[in-house]
Amino acid sequence: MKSRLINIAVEGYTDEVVVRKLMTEAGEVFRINACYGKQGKDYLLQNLPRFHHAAQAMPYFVLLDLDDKDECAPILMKKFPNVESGKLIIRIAVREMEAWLLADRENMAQFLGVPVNKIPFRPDDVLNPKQLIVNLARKSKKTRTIIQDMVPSAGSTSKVGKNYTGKIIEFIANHWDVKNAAQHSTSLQKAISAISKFTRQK
Amino acid sequence: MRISRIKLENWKNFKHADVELTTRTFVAGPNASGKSNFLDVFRFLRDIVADGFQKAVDENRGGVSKIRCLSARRYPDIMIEARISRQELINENEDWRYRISFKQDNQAVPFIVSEKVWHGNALVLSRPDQNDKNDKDLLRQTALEQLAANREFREVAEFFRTISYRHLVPQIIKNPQMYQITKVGHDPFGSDFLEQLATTTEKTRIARLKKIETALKTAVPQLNDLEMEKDQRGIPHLVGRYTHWRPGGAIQREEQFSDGTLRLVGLLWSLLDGDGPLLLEEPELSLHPAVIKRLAPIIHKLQKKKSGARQVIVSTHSPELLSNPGIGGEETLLLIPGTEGTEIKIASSINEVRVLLEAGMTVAEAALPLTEPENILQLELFS
Repeated sequence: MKSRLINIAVEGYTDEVVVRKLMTEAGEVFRINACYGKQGKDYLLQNLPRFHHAAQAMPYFVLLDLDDKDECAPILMKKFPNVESGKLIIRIAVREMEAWLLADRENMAQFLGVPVNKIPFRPDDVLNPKQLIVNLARKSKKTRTIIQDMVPSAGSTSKVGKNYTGKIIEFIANHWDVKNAAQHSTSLQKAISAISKFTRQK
Repeated sequence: MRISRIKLENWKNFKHADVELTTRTFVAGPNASGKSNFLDVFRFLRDIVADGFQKAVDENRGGVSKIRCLSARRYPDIMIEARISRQELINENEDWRYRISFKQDNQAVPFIVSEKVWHGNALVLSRPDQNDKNDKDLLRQTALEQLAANREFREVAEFFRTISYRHLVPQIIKNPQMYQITKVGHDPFGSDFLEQLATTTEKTRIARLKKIETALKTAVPQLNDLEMEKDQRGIPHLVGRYTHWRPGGAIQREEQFSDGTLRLVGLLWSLLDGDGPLLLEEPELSLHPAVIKRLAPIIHKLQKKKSGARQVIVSTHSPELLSNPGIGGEETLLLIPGTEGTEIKIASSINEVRVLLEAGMTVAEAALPLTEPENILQLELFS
């Protein structure tokens, strides 16, 4: 089967890696043409009408974080009436994409070197999943590198460690089990089914 | 005059390319996609006229085998065709076209397979001709480089001679003696920059430095009174007055200038110097993003000459440079590498990019994502 070209638009670099993995898991039916955005959430929201317009030429998959500022996914979606034209998929991670990673509880626990019962059963309910990952890493019993890479040094203004992104990408690429994660995250489940529905469209 | 269209066969990364060029053109692409190789086509045309075909191929570029595209099959010819327009618009009746194709013989000596020149629709030169057939050695030289042979299209040869290339390196400008540069004429890296300042007539030099100083006001507001001075040994220097807490400020020479300041001065100077096509390699280097954002309009302002707009071709990686809303998709070439060499596409000719541009995105937002390396992830996993 010939793969379909699709553009993706995301908030940041790690989101790109997640979406690429989701597309690959969907069975190579999509080939990603280009990844737009990567300048934060406000940029994506501002440009949604443009991606909507551009979707006439090539379909778009847009991934947004809900974040703690917004009420819930359905309310955010209502801000963009008529934007879903069959060629534009907007999916929202509750509250952040990192919740989707936490949702693969067993692998995340092993990767961070913490007991699996420390990881919430429903990561979609966690208000700040990124912070939770950093805090879990702080307690890692596994290797020093998890702490050194993922946890900011004392007194730093940074919220994450010096190679937090690198480690997260390593997890996504080599350890993250999407199917397992979907069992613990409704928003991930919805994103996967939106992609597969999209696949079946003509 | 300007080069309004370029066609390539088997030139370095480009197995095949055919693009129209605007008066201001930006060339964007990932690392190793061939941005410099693309600019080198124009330098090659200049080299043929200035140094001769043999030297342009062998000495300057390491021979035919270094030029020929790796994706080329067997032993095909390398071909370059340049269309030269006098006006902003392409004019079929007035434009010149110069086409050369070449390869090497059994002794690895470069020779011309064909050389043709058209003026409008009239064929002005067509080689090989009878002379070439009688004496094959003649095909080691182009008609372009020979005064006796280029009489009918001298204008084209002289135009190619005005092409210049700049990739200024502040360290070389500061310490030209430390680098052995044997290049005749202008050195692209700026080792002769101070020499150029010195050989420009005083009136022109003062006027240009004044302009540069004004343009610099926003980027380096502390720098005033730019001028050229010779030391006791007669070596020219660029000097400027840095204002600080002392009332008079301090006189500084180019070796004390910051890399960014010196690069910006050199960049503005090269835009003001000459009116032939100017090739700029990554002008954004060592500059602050806020300054880079203003480069595109600065180029536009300074490329205007009495004789019409001077052509400027800029290679860049910089989203800031391409984020200027005044840059059109038709001014931007995207280099997209593939298994069969690199493809050159005009950004606005790509449908999914054009719709984003129409919706109001800048070239940086709409087109640059296409040039991002697909497997950038590997860099992150490298340890």
